[in-house]
This record gives sequence, C-alpha cells and structure tokens, in this order.
Amino acid sequence: MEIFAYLDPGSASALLAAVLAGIAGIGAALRTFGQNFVNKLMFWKKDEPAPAADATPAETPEDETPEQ
Amino acid sequence: MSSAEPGSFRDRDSRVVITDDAIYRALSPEGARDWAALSASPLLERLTSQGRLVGTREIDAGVLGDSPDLLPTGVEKVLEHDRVPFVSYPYEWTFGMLQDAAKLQLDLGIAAIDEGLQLKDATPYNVQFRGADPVFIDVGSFEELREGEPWVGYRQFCMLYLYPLLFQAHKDLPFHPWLRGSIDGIQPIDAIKVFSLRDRLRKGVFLHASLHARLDRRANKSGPGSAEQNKTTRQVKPKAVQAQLQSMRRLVDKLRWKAGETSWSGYRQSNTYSDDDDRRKQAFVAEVAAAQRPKLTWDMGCNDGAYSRIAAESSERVVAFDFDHATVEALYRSLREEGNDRILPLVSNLADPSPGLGWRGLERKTLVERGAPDLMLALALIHHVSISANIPIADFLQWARDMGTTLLIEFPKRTDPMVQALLANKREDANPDYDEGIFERELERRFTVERREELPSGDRILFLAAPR
Repeated sequence: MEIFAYLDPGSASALLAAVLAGIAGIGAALRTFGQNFVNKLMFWKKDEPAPAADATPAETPEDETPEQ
Repeated sequence: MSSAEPGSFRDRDSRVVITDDAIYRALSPEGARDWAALSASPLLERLTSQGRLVGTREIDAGVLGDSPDLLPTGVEKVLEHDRVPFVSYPYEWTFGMLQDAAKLQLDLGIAAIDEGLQLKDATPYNVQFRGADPVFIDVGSFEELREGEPWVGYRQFCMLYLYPLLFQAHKDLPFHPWLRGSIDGIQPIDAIKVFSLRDRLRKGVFLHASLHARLDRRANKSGPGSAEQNKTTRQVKPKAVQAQLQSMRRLVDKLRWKAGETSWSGYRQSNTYSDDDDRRKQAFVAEVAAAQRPKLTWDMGCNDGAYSRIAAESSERVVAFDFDHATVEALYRSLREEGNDRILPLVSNLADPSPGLGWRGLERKTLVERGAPDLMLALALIHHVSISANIPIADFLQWARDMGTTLLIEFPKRTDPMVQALLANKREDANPDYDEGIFERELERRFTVERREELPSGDRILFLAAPR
C-alpha cells in the first residue's frame, strides 16, 4: 500500500495505525454483531409475558472493544 | 495589502493569504478537487451550520492577483474564510480546551469517512476557539478518501494531542512547555520516558506510547532503506479507520485531569467575593468598558474571570489570561457550559508570553502580533510583575504603551498585605521602583491619567490611563 500524504505518517506509526485499525474494526464488527443478537433476543422476548415490576432489568452488554 | 500566512506553507495544495480585511485560502488543482468533493457533500453545510467548521465561501480567484509563488502547481481556486476573533495556540490552552479540540478533530474525521472524505492531518493548530467554542479552521485538510490507507494523521495526533493530554491526566505534568518547545509535538520515544511501569498499564499508554516508541526505535535502528521495508502492505478498510477514530475518541473523552476537576468543583461552589474594594473595582471596570466599548479587551491575571465577564458586557471580545492552569480550566469549563463565545480564556505567564515559533520564528506568532487590545485590565497584577518576576515597573508600562492600549491598572501600595507577603522573602532594597510615587511618575510619562480612584481599604489605587 502506498500512502500519498503531504505529512510523513512515519513508517512505524503507519504500521501501528494499520494494526490498530484492524483491531478496532474487528471490535466494532463484534459490537454490531452483539447488538444485533441482543435486538433479536429482545424481539423474541416481546412475545413473553411482561416481567414482574420487581424483576431485575436485563443488563446492557459492556463495551467489549479493546480500548486503545 | 496581502501576504501569504507564514504558518501555512506545509501543505503544497493549500495556502492561506491574509489581507487587512479578509482571510483567503488559495487551492492548487489537487486542492480544488478535494474542495469540490467537500462542497458537494452535505458535510460542509452541516459542520458549518453547527459552528464546528469555519464559514467558507468560494470567490473569484482574481482577488489574489498574480500570485505565481503561492503554490508550486499554481492557484486553481480561492476560498474566503470567516475571521477568528483572536488566534490562540495549544500551548496556551487548558487541558479541557485541548481535549475538546481533540474530540472535534476526531469527530470531523469520523464524519468525513461517511462522506467518502478523510482528513490529511491531525494537528491542534487547525483548531481555534471563538470564546469557549472550538472551531476547525483548515478546510484544506479535507481530501478525497484514499481506500486502503491507514489513518495518516495518527502519529501527529499522538504527538500533538494524545501525549500532552496523557501527561496532564496521568502525571499532572503541564503540557504547555512541551508543545511550546516543539512545534511538531512530543516524539513517542520521548513520551514513553515520562510514564512509569504502572502508567503503561493505563488505557492508551501501552498501545499508543509504549508500543509506538518500540516500533519507532526498531525502525530507527534498521537505518536507511528501512522505510520501504517498514511500509505496511496492509490494506485498511475505511470502516476500520473510522472504528479506530471512534476508539480514540472514547479514550480521549475518558481522560480526566484531577487538579482541573478540583478547581472546577471549587469554582462552582464559590461565591463572587464582595468586599468594598471589589465592589468599587467592579463598578470602575463596568463604567470604563461601557464608555470605551472596546473591540478587544485583555484581562491580564484574570483569576476566576469575574472582571472579564464585566468587561465582556461592553467589549466585543475579551481574552482572559492567567498563568494558573487549574484556575483557567475552571473558567473555560464555566464559559463552555454557558456557551460563551466572547471570552477566550488562555494560560499565559505575562512575564514569559508566547514567542514566535517554528520556521523562521514566524509559523506561530507572538502574543502581541495576534492583536493588541484596545483596553487592558491589569487588576491585582503589577505587584506580581514587579516583585515576583522582577520586571521593572517602567518596562511593564512601556510594554503596554507600545501596544497603544488604554490601561486600567490597579496599584497596591507597599502597605497592602499581599505586597508585604511578596516582599517578605526579598532583600529590603530589591524592588526600589515598587513605589507609589515612582509608579505614578512612570505612568504619567507614557499615558494620560484620565481617572484615579483610591479604593476603600486605602491600600490600593485604580488608574485609567490613555496612551499619550
């Protein structure tokens, strides 16, 4: 891959940026997948009878993306 | 009269030209293509209307006349930008200002990818503040997305945004001398030396500083010819770059500077103090500002900004300076919360104001070159300047006189408790010019004293002085 920038991105930095983008991209894809999965689960849950008022609410999944 | 802005030479496709009454940007054929892509996208209108991107219009290229040397490939198009009231630099900002500028930079990068665009750099010098409101000023940074490229501004972002923020957040180490000391910012191999082993476990430090420095060292050791070998063969998807920018934004957003937080909570709880001296000073400032209607007021040693706020009621713009970072941070956050776009708070030591920096010392301007004030407030200041910094009274007054500003200055007498505290550790004859009679004589040599008022405590005198 050639980089055509007026700014020298630094060869080591460009390599690191590419790797980090890959990791972040995978993290984002997993997050979207997880969200879709939860949405599907919620859709299925809609058919269930409403939970009792004192029931513990479903936990929101934590952001699992590795923070850079 | 027009001249190429000495600080905008780095990008060969875009050059800023400043005239007495306008700011233009000349674009090369390549730059013009990038501008066409930006202006055709909904991003330009959206960001401009949100106030996040400086107002920009395309105008007749003839306005610059014959300008063969402006850009090596010639000038294809000319844009006109809205003027930013007072130019400031990251080494004058608070932690919160640099953090907000970083978030703006990343937000724009994230939004650009959705429109098939990208930002070609990542420098805080492309952000300015209108009061407490950050605005991105380098329209020439937007270019057409190059599929497969990694984030080209990553290194620059680390060196000029991330490391300074990490220094302040994790080490309580002021970033200002680092950014003032190097226009390109902090190298990864230098940044990592500041962090302890424990710090390296903190979010962002290992990947962006530790690993970055290690790779840098390896690349440097490999010597000439290594650049080609080190060039990544990876093709990076734009969505992955976008995810990286989002991840970086989360990291930046979570950074906290403890002293800034403490100062901010203290600021919110504190009441404006109101002894008799203060009430008189407030009235004096309000009356002077209302009578003068200054375009630009400088409040030197602004502290919590109480007098800046009073002056701002009758001034078009106020720049509020103080050397205490935490105090200015609290002021910034308060102004930001209220959406104030008239008062610009800056961290600056009057005894050591920002010099000219960069190539030929012209890339970044000195403080005074960026706009001398019509009115200068120097309240509870001169004793610090004279006694703490040892700047002769006559020198300080001459500096103000050379700017041609009207001076509203408070002189605390030697009987004032704060003056006595400052003199306590000094030789008895160390500051012979710190004397009421000498001060008035030196003031009158350079200014016409229009108003003189002794404050109720009897220890302090206010002067309103117009330059002779």
